[in-house]
Order: sequence, then structure tokens, then C-alpha cells
Amino acid sequence: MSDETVKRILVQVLGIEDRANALTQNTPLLGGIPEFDSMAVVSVLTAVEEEFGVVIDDDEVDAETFETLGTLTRFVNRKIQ
Amino acid sequence: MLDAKFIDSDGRRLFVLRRHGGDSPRKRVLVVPPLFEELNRCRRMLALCGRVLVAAGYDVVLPDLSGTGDSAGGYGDASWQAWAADLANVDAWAAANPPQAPAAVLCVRAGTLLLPRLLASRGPGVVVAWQPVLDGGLYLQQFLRLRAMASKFAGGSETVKDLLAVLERGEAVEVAGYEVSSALGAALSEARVPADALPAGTSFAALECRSGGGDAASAPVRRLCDALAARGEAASATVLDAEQFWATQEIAAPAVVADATVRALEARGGGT
Repeated sequence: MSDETVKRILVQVLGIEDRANALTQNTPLLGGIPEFDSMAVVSVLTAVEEEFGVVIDDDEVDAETFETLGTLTRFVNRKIQ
Repeated sequence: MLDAKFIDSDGRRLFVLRRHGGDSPRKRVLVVPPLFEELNRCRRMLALCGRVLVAAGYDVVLPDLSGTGDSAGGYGDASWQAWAADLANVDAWAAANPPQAPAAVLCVRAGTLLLPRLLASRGPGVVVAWQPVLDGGLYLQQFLRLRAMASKFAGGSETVKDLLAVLERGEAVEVAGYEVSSALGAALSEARVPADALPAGTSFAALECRSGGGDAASAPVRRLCDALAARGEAASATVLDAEQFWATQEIAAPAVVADATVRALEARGGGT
């Protein structure tokens, strides 16, 4: 459930509905998708906070969190447990 | 018709856009704009909504607050006090040119944080709020996070806490090209919109956007509406199936937002 939500948030923030079906857990994000800049990172974090009702400290994330859709999804799943 | 004017607000030069149908008297809407980059991203949505409102019989006034947009100065000179005064001055100017009834208010995102002071100065009325920000402290941290993240990915180590400490020391912080002064940071940190900050007789309609829609508005907005309703005010929160146009990479202006805004105003007898 949360995997799909993370993907949906990503697609919405980046405006990549046309590429949504091509996204897999291995899809690289930071450095992989051109739209994925620091503004996008912040938008994704904010959307995750609001969607799941969690608070994310910037200590908790780093470049590796956003390496792929999979790393991001695993981060969110750990957060909401 | 679209008028672009500079008006004087306590010695500050403010840029104001006024859309109107040309004949009077008409209902009015005063827009309280969002902050920082969100103002740029909302321009198209505000323009579309402005045209839809004019067609529905409203005049629409959109000021650029001091230091923002095309108004004189920069964010570094901006202050919460000045912004509150700007809104009151623009409202008074719009009410006199030509003489009209009090306007309904459309507050956008962090513009909502200025609502308590606006209503305190001109009395209660009909309010429509687009994805209202009700906690300025949280909003400031989300904004500072832009810089903290950019720093982190560039190999730096600035955290949001570090940046808050800089502001508290009395220094300004630059984020994504916008200067946040220590005073503005302090004002944002304290800004909240609790129910008791809105005067009796306030009618409040929140519109939130989520791609794919959904039933429940965000928790803080629901809490505000519940508290207002509990004391007998008209308060509602609606979730629209629309992109979050203030934040998307590509500028969006979902028509459903404009339509819902007109409906919300009409339902409350807005602007009359």
C-alpha cells in the first residue's frame, strides 16, 4: 500500500504521469531523473510527512535515501512502522 | 479588464492587480498571496481564477506584498507588520475605488497566516483558503529544508536546526534566492491560525488539492473547521482532485480549483 503511495507522490511532485508505468523499485532518482532536484526532494519529503502523518528530520535522510525508488520506499516503510 | 497599479502603503510602493468587469457595483474578492517561490508558481492559477471570478460578477484585487513580486524592495526588507498593514491598506483602497461593500478574502497557502490580522483590522467575512498553511513555524522549517537538502547533496552539512539558529542570532538566511530576515523568520515561527484568532462571524471554506482526490482534508484544517463549526460558524474543508499547483515542477492551473472557489463564495453570499 505504502509502496504505491510513495510512487504516486513521486509521480505527482515530478509531474511525470507519462512515465509512471516505467518506474520500478530500481529506477534511479537523484541523478537519474532530471526533474529530481533539491526542490523535488523537499516536496517529496513534505508530501510524505503530510500523507503519513510523520515528521522527518533532515538528519534521517541523505543522498542514499533518494538513490532509487526502492531506497526511498524502504525509508518510508521504516518511518511509518 | 485588468488594471495594474502602484499604490502607496504607508510610504511603501505596492504593485496591485485588479480584475473587474467594468460595471459597478460588484462583489469583491481580496487575494492574500502565497510566499516565496509559491507566488510564482501560483500566478497562472490566480490569473485563471481571476477570470472565472470576474465572469461570475466579482472584482478581484491581488496585491504583491512589500518586498515581493513587483512591489518595491526585496524579501530582506519585508516584515510581517508591513504585510499586515499592506493588506489593510489595499483593502481600504479597493473598497474606496469605487466605493463598495467589504470584500470576501481568498487566501492562498501561507497567505492564510496573515488572515487573523486582516480580519482583526476589518472585521469578519467570507474566507476561501487554498491549501491553507496554519502553522508558520512548520512552514518556515519546510522552506529552510530546501537549503538544507541542497547543502546536503552538495556534500555540505547545514541542517534546518543550524539555519534556525542563524535566524535566532539575528542574521538572515538565503533560501533558493529568497532572503529570510531574522525578523521575518521570527514572525513566521510564531504565526498560527487557531480558531480563536478568527472573529465571530467568519465564514471559512478550505479547498485542498490532491491528485486522485480523496475524502478527508488534512488534519490541521479539519481541526480548525471543527472548532469554528462548534461555535456556530460556517466552516468547510473540501478536497479537490487537482495537482498541487503551488509546488509542481511544471506550472499547473487546474480549472476545478477556480470553479470550486466561485462555488464556495456563492454558497456563502461572498463579497456582498
